[in-house]
Amino acid sequence: MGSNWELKSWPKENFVKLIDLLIENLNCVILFTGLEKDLETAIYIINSVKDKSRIYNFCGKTDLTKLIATLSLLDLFVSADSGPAHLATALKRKTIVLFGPTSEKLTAPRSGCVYIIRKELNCKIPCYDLSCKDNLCMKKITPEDVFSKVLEVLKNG
Amino acid sequence: MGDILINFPTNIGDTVLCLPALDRISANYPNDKITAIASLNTEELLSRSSLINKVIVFNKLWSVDKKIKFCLPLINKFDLMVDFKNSFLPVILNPKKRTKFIRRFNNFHAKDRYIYLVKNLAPKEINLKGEFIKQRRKKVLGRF
Repeated sequence: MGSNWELKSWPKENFVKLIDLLIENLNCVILFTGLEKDLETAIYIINSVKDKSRIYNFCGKTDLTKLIATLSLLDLFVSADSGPAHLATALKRKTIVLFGPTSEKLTAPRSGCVYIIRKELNCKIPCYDLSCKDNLCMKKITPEDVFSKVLEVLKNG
Repeated sequence: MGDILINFPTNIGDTVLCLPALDRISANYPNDKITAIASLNTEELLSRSSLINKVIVFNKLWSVDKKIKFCLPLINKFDLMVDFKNSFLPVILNPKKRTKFIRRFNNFHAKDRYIYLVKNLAPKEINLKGEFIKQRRKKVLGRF
């Protein structure tokens, strides 16, 4: 859910909408992984989605062993540019990575099962600008963008 | 048999991207003992690598005093040091051989950059695999 750098994270409202789309259209089960610091965001998302019964929240509950075990069970992993995205691709899980302030040309996971989403803005990428206030590079990625990529990946994969 | 010290990046993602370079180092020095400097984030991941004999944790938030205490037993102990973080540790630890300080490859993907970094020290090319093992080793007794 999160990342080591707040600017790389996707807005929680977008997660809510994406999860609603996924559950409504694909009847899937959603697992959250993240650190303890992501728990508050996870609870916000769970309380905001329409169907809470299909969500399992593992934020703050997984050590590396459990995280890897959890990732290995997934059909698809959606993440910001984060360590778990690299782990998921190392485990050959289909992974959609949302790139904002970092560059996929420099640090994207390397695997045939990685699918990148990025919105082109007039920013220098990677920016490493911790003072950025608008974080448009992540905000411009819509839940619909991610949902259509999910459909594409599941269909073609 | 020699001793190799590898300073890995702080975060898991970057460390995963170092694993092909680790494969290459290990293949070029199959009989050497590899010690990894890990962060609190990467300690568990690196302790699972069958290519690494020992993992020691360095926390960049430590006080100078603690950092010095960390460095002292490692000075002049290693035949080769690979520094994926481009820190000053190789200057302090004074290994016999080390990776270069000046690095001009900003537009390479990190995985290629890490391999390029070790290319001169580990010239033999190998089939890269980036290996994980399932069981964490409790005690390091030597190369498995």
